[in-house]
Amino acid sequence: MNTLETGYQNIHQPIIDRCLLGDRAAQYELYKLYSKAMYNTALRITGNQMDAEDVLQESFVNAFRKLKSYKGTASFGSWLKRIVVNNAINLVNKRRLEVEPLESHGVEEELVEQQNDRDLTYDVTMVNQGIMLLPEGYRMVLSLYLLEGYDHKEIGEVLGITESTSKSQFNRSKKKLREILKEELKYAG
Amino acid sequence: MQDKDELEQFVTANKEQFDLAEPNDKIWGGIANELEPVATKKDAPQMLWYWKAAVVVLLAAVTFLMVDKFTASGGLIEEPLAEEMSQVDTFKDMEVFYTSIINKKKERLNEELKGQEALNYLEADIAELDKLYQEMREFFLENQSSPEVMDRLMHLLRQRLHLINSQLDILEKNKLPEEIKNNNVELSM
Repeated sequence: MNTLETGYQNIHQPIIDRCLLGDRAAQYELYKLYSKAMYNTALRITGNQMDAEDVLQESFVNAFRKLKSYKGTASFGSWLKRIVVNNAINLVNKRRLEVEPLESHGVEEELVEQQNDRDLTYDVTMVNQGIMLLPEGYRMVLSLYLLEGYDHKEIGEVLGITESTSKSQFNRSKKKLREILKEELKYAG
Repeated sequence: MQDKDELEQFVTANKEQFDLAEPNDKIWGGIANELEPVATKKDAPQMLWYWKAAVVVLLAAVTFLMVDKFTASGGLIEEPLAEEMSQVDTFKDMEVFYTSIINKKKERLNEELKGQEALNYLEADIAELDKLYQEMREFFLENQSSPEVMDRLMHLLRQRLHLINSQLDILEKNKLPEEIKNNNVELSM
């Protein structure tokens, strides 16, 4: 198969075409191009290195085996990311994901949310560490929304929760993240 | 919809920088293995012949040494002399040394071969070599503690080590992309 007829023009299409012919060097090139980003996505969802490595391996194997089904309607990266996110969520589900029940609807929480940003200066490493310290359900919703570009409807679909639960979880996760960051800053002096 | 707060703005603006972790280099090996699960079978016939040749050579060596010793002693089995005892001590030291390395390599090989039925013959051949070694060892300790027999025993141990190492090399090689294996493509990033 050569360049795709319609849809998104992928800058790595020549490599993808070679992968479709079973070219192992091309598969390795594609792996090197996307493995770091995909690994970090898997790591944020699963929350641990070993699971993230399993997800990364399984996802690339799935992607290479199902490459013919990539129709080029979105970037290869986002197609691959869907596979990674699904595999990571499946793995977490095996560990019995427990999303906290929705106790109250968002308005008052959102008001509480907005208050306390002024006394925090953000730093990527620190925020990243804070995200990894979040409880599983919070970490997944926050990562999917802020870093993986999912909207609440999509998060609801992949996690099997309602859109409003996703929104609520997201607000709670931000609140929790701020608390963690404040703690970190306190100990960092 | 709620406006993005500072935390959200910070994370979305620095999204790319949140990919901080690097995946383990070994993951590609696992992917390549899964994409080509029968890769090792290609090498199996070649290895089988190598093993068969080794077993024939060792059988011939053992037979020769036993017949040679029996003829030289006029058909009588001699008691080991005092100076031969030091050979026994040296042999025992060397045996401990080689056996510990062989066991470590075998453990690694077993790890690598998990679930690969194609290489079951390897265990059978190792068992056959072990049997030969034990017979010769008995002969050495009970009847002829000569440097020649000890050299043969050491050779047997080194041979075993070499064969295990060769198999490990093949397995490592199989993890690489086809072009790297053939040394004719330099990967570019």
